[in-house]
Amino acid sequence: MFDKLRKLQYLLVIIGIALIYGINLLSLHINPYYLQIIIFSGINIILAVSLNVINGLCGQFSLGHAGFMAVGAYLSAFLTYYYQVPFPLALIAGGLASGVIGIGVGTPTLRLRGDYLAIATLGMGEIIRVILFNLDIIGGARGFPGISKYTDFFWVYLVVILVILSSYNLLKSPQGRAILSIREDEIAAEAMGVDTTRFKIFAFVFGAFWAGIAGGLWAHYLQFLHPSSFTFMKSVEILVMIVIGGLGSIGGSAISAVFLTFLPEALRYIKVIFNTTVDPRMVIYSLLLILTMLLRPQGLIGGYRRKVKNQ
Amino acid sequence: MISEILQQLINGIALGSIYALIALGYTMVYGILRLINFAHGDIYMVGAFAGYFAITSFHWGIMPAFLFAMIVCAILGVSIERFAYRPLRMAPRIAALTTAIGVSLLLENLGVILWSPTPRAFPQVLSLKIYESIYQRFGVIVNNRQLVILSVSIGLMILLQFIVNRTKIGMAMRAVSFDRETAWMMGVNIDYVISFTFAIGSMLAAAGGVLVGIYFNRIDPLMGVMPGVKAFVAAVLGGIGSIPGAMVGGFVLGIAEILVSAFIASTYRDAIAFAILIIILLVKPSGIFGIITREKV
Amino acid sequence: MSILSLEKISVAFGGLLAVSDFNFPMEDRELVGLIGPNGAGKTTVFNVITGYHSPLSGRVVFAGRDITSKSPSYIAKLGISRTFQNIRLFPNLTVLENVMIAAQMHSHSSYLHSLLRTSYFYREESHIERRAQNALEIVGLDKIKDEISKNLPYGDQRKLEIARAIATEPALILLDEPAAGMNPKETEELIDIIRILRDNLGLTIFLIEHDMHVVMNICERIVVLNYGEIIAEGTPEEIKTKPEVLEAYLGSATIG
Repeated sequence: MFDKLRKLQYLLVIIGIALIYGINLLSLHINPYYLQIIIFSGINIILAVSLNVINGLCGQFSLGHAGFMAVGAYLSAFLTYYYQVPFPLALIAGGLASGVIGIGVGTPTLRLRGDYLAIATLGMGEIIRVILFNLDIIGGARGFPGISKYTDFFWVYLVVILVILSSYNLLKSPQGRAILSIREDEIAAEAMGVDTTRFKIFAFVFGAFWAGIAGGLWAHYLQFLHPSSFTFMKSVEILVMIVIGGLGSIGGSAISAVFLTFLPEALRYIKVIFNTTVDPRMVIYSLLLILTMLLRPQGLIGGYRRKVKNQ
Repeated sequence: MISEILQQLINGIALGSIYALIALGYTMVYGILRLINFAHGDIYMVGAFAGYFAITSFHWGIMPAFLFAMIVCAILGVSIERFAYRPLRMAPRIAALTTAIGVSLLLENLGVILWSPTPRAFPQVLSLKIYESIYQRFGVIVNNRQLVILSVSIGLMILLQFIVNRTKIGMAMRAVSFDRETAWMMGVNIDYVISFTFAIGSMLAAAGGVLVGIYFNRIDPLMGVMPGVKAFVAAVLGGIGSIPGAMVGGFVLGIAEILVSAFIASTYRDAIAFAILIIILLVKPSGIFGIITREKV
Repeated sequence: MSILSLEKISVAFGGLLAVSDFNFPMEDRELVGLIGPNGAGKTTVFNVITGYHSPLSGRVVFAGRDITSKSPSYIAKLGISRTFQNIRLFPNLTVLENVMIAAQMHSHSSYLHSLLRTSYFYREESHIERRAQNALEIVGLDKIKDEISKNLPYGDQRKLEIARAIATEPALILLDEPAAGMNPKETEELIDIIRILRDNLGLTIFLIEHDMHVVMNICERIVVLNYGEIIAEGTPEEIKTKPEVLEAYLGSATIG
């Protein structure tokens, strides 16, 4: 019976990969504007799902995700630009570096709770950004231009498949249950033998790794990097996605990421229709955030709860 | 060299008093609600703009402008609490924090839409006067604006201390921050006390905003972002929930920031606040004056 | 040899001495009760045993090992399990999931196995689920295994905590006021469960309780704590009549 489950997973993954390969070949015929939104949606899915593991599953309120993304972005760009490292390797290197930073962020903050943790991670994200801002070899204040455009539909959605698969398989596993138990009641979790230190760091590393890869994909699409793309605002954008999608819900995070990538573009049309010069997007964004919290804190799409028994 | 350090110290104290004023609002709200009011920095911004419009549009003097800004922000702060935070008082903290972020973004972006992101020059209501005699003696430039900032800030802080420690409402505030449920059972009107706390905190932030307008001369809708976060760091440094702590933290941060900026590198100016934050959270999260509260097992 | 030994344990909270000079050996398969007025320091003793608080001085020795000041998860893995005075369930998880988290403690399946969904992973998952089911059957909650735990009635929540604690397959289990808030029927069920734990599962049980009916009925030995000090020790019969005990609970005005 279990053989069937595993084979089903593997089959779905293979079909998925074949599918996106095919779509990628067709992507040349898609309007570049729409393709761009689709690619950004994919990158946002990776960011949202990875943040969801830290915030939603583990319950650690992390506001520094942009910092992880930045590390992966800059390192992978550095490797391809200066050393002609093959793109997949550069991506992975970026992810691993971010993972290490994840250990750096997760370890000191182990004893912090709630708001303190949020502010500490925010601070760390900002420190990363400031450090990058001061490194001339990657452009500093002038930015890092001339990055090759290696990112395409295939790479982005391959990573999307991988991040969703690894998150799902994490959720429905002993490690996933352990991580959830930390969110639910850390003190009780310890009493039941859950090494909360190890699993908190695991969650941070997992989230940071994928954020780093997302950063690498981003860098090699935009072809230009500047530290101002990785401020606290960016972390908040990703936070909004998982909050609206429902903390702890993988599917919710993914759908919400796509929705919130398309939304600003859709709102652009409103601007045109009403012929205004003002950009109401951020206002609508923030209202969405407030109203969701007031009316449906468990998220608009997914729910707070998630079945964790393996099926 | 000494005069150089002294000069920067003076600049740091001026900046520090602004941080202290904003930090006080953070610390009081945190003490009473255990909520980091992310929107607080933006209330400071609204205060600056309120003062700006009072002077430029209504042609009021500096004192009425101050009062106007403080009243506007008090109303704003109380409204935010009433409509965005009160419904979530029993909700998990992450929900309240997220809403606070939302309110902050809302204020900033409404500001951008209404007032354009371009910085404006704050009207010169206080003509600059440098004290020559001090310059002669010590080689440092002290201007009247710095004195105004310092005296207004300290005056307000003394007033706050009086309210908190010597009035009934102040006692109620302290009671609610210790143990909300017991205070409620003792007949304290929690909603009123919380609203009052928000009002006072917002008024202090508003004063800070107007002072910044006078001192630095420029205001813009996003001016509250950085000072907001830094003032929060100052509050944590001093011990979140502690009023003297917020004052001390504000001054320490202001001085540290100016000194680092002047003598090490100005590009690391913002980072110093975060570095202090990380160090404090790792070494003594309860801050200088804070008390460590232990979760009961 | 004693399975658990507390040697000269003193605990301080700031300047306040909560527990002083607590000496206490416990034999394998004993059923010992810890009683005393509120604030006597009973839960503090539990917290020191399970690693949630470091003692000012003294040692905790379990099965020959010094476990003083070790982390709670380490101590849990060595074989000590507990319930909490104020119920600490995993509220948004189901009854079964709550217990599975405990049941998986001895499993060695790593994330790599989980990621690749190996046969080992699936085998371990069914072991874990089976262990959890067994624990639930012992306390009688197996029928409602898919209920969200925060929706359970109070008595069932307490039982669930016990099921969770036994799913780690401990040698020693610490129960912190398991009967608190239970009605008489539930209390009788609880007494039966505790007997099963000791007789069928061979557990050593250390019990904090205020409900004297429970204490007198099942404890073989009782330790009485007041103001952090042991004031009496002995069988239920002996304890019942000791004047120090009565005084601690009722106050000296009622004696003599």
